[in-house]
Amino acid sequence: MGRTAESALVLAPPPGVLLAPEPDPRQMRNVDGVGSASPGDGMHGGAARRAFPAPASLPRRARALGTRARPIGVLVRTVASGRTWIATANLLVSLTAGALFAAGTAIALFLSLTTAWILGLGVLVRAQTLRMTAWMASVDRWRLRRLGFTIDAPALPQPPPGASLRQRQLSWGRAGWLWRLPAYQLIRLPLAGALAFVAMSWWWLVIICLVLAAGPTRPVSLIGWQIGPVSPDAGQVLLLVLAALAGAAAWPALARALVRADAFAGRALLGPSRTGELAAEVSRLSEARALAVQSAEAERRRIERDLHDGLQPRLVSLALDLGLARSRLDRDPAGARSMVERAHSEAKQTAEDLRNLVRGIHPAVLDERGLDAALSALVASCPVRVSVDVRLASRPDPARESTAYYVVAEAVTNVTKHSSASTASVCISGDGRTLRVLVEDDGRGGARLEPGGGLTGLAARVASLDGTLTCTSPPGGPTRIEAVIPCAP
Amino acid sequence: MRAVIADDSVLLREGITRLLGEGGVAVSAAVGDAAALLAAIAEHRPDLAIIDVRMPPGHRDEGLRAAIEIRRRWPDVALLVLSQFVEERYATELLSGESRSVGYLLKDRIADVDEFIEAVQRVADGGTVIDPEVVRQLLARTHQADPLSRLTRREREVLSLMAEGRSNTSIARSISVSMGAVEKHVASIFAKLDLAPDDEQRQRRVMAVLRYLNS
Repeated sequence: MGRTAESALVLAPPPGVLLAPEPDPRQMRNVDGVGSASPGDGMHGGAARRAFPAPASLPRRARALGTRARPIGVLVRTVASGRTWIATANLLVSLTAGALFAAGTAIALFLSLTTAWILGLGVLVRAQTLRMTAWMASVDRWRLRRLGFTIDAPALPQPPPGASLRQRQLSWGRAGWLWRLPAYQLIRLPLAGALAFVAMSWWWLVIICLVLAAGPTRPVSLIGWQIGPVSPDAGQVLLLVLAALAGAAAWPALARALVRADAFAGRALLGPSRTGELAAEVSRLSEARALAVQSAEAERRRIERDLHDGLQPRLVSLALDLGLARSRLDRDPAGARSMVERAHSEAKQTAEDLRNLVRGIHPAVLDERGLDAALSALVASCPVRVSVDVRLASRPDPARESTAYYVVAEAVTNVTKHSSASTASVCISGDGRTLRVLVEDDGRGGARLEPGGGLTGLAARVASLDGTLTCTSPPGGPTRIEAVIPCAP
Repeated sequence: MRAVIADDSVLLREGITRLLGEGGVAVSAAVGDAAALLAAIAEHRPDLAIIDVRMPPGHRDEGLRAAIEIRRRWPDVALLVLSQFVEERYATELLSGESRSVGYLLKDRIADVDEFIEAVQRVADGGTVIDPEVVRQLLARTHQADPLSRLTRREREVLSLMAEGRSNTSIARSISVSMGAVEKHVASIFAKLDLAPDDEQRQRRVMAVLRYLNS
């Protein structure tokens, strides 16, 4: 009998169960219902791991325990199990949070609508509305995870590194798929209300059954309801008590069903949607493309600037000196000679400048001999002592290789110019799947990804290859610049 | 004659100073940006300012804007604007007010010492000097292509030299023909392009030609 009751009340999970089945009462002593679900527990994984073994394979002691259990004990333990309590409490929590969040969302949506026509402000308010509901969604996902439902967070906008405030707002504004989050808050409040209503009615009926079974001789007042007087006979009393017990016994299943309804709405609206994911991917890709164009443009401008400011004046001055020498040649040979000498040293200096400039545009040795060789030459010209460690399983493709090179070049330039470091280290490692570039120095820190800065340009270049560039440089140092670039398999 | 030089390259400031010394022009001040240039002009009131277009802080067209400002505030200062790239658009902006004592040359021209000094003298004397490169750009994109096609090759050559701001004497020397021949070409060009008859005021002639090419 005990075995039967147990399976009827506890063991039979409904088909296609979403919730992890109730723990076996035999194990209940070490299961507090909540703590057993580790964070991030996928419901399928949870269900699989907690699937009950066939009774035949149960350990002997456990089986003995199971047969000794009395129906009432099982009932009490089931109804009072942590999991059921949590499910019940959730109805209240969801209703409370729902009321607060729905109010906040409604206000935010109202503001979004009224400010939509104000240029600038509309974007700001819309972005803040989405941010707020994204936070609310993370609270609700956390709540549902405690109940055993893991919902992945949808992709949130990732503004490019060094983006201005306005660009950040705009990237939220473009994330149209996120409007499911405020929608959830608006739908959830009536849903939570309905679920709480069902739960309360259920217990209300159980209580009425018990009151009627007690056979009150005078009317009993239950929150405004007058019950009785009634005088049930023995059969009716038994029936009422049984009905009340059945109602209480069925509560865990009902509570789970209500939680599933709650989770269903969450899963539909709080999780990643396919359109959302695709839209996020498209937006990420077009941002990466824009960054690639931008960084190429910045690079072109830098080259033009270097040529214009460095090389052109030198050549013009060289031509001028030669021109002056020529016009003096006949009347002042000595003066002409000193001018030719000057022009000669200028020509040599110009050749050196040109060599450095060309190396800065693209070092040929990088193509021919790879990163290690190119970096040796780079750090050789650096006044700070820089150690280089390159460990690559295979040679990255040219785009990744040269990006890694420029990350190091820019970082080393910054070390020389700004850090007042005494040593620095460059570490490049690659396992064929990821190329990792790490530049550290012992300088005074304070490096930042500023809009228009060299590092930001490089971050854009790295991002255009789906990589990330991070710069940690607290005031006082040390500075650590790391680029991680995924490589095609 | 006294001049003020503005160029952000120290090397070129020194070079131009030496070059002007060669031509007997004293350099009152050599500065590196537009603000310092305006201050130097106010202080020294030179006869001539030689200005680089691209200067700090923006490295854009600060020199050009400073030149226009100088023309507005001190109209008697001759202006010679140098640039590493010449743009007909900049020339048009520079000449839109008054073309007297204005020059616009590619920076490379300073290497041809004698010609450069001659250009400096011409600008200081109230003439106009336009870089052949600008004239080439104007000829290439002019909307008046049809009348221009009526010119002979030699006449086009003379037109270009006129647009550069050269005198008939200078044109005659440049293409090795007699003064009389140049005068004949000029008259023929003015007739073919329906311009008012040649004016001996050289800078007005330049303006007429430039306006024609630019229209």
